[in-house]
Amino acid sequence: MTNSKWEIKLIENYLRKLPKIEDRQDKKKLFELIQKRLQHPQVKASKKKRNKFLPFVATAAVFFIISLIIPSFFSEKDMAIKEVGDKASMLITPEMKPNYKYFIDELDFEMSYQQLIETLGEPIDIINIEDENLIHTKGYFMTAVYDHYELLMYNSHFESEFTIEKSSVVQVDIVKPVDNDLTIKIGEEIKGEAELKRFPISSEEAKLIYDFSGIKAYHDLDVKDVYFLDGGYSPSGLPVVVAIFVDENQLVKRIIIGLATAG
Amino acid sequence: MKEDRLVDQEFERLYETYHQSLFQFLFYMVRNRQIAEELVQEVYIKVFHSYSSFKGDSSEKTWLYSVARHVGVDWIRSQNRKKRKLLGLIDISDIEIQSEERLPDEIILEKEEVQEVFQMLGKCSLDQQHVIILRYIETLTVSETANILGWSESKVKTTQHRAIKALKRLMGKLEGDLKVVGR
Repeated sequence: MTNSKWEIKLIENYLRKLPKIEDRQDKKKLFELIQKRLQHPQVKASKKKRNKFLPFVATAAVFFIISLIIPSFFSEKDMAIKEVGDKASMLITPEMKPNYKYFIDELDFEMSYQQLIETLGEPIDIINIEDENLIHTKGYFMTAVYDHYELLMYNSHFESEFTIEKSSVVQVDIVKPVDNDLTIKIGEEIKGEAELKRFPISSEEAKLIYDFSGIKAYHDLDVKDVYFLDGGYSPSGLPVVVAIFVDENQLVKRIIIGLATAG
Repeated sequence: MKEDRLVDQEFERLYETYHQSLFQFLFYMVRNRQIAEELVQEVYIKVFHSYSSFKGDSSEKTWLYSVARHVGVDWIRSQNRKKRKLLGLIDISDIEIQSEERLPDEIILEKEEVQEVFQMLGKCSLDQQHVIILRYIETLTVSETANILGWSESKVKTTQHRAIKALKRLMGKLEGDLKVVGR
């Protein structure tokens, strides 16, 4: 396996050779079924015997990858958990975006654990959320608490819109002493906010905190502003987002790190 | 009824213009003929229900594809919901065991390499799969694909590139495995 370009051409050729598939259903019958369903919305699609359809890369697999990636993100210079006494700190700088993206670009979804380690270095920690009480699901989204961080995990492929609701998020305390130009600390004001994209919550539209690739995230949290940093996406196209919610006193209420799962 | 006749005419037109392409797209998305047959009905239902919301800011063709994509993805999601397991670290080997798949008949008839590429396509991320299907099987342009997926053209290109790379690696891996197994 040496000639990479040639291999790519070969694969493209195989793809083009995938057979044309035609629907063999009778057009008239199909139309009748559709008409029936249009008139009687409760009529379900005609069910036929199904083959057992096998799963896509398991969500679990992504959790696995995420569990390797997240600690490594944090160990990066620009977005780090630092031990300051016994308190964890999180630092997000305006440079995070390009670095983050570059960083993620280094990864490939199919990498083995060993390859991941070689690329990222040893993870400082591995997330293993065993306590189900820490996982809250809402629709196709879930939040989990890792250490002091609230992770919002959602299924980017499957949901075009979702709402972060009070009932769906896990309250966590994040204590963050920070020592750089941009400080995000729960219970305190954001310093260096000019670098952040800001979504004031005064209108319906402002409830939208995330709009990317047709995926929209809204929130109904009791907060005044949402500052939002988007982090780029992982090799398999999974977006990673960081949203920061602020109340009317400009105090940070919560920080959410959003990661998509692959379903 | 007048309305019925309109639906009839519209169905006729959409069917003649797009049906087989949309069906094929669904087939490759869900990788199963029976399911594609069910889902294609769903696409028409959605289309007739939301025809008024079609704003014409994308072409009708790409709009229909994006409806089909949503229908397919909804179905996949409903399957996944049943299977979703959230917690813990799962050993990679567990995941590989899950990915055995019975190939559709029309694929079994194909040459071995084509079967393999179909199989490996199923292991790519959904986004990657969709890009590959739209670009190589439906032979749509980058711009049409971007429109359907709601992405930028450059994201389509990078995802496509990554998908091919992933396929290449997966197929390479398969060959390696076969050698080890001595098949």
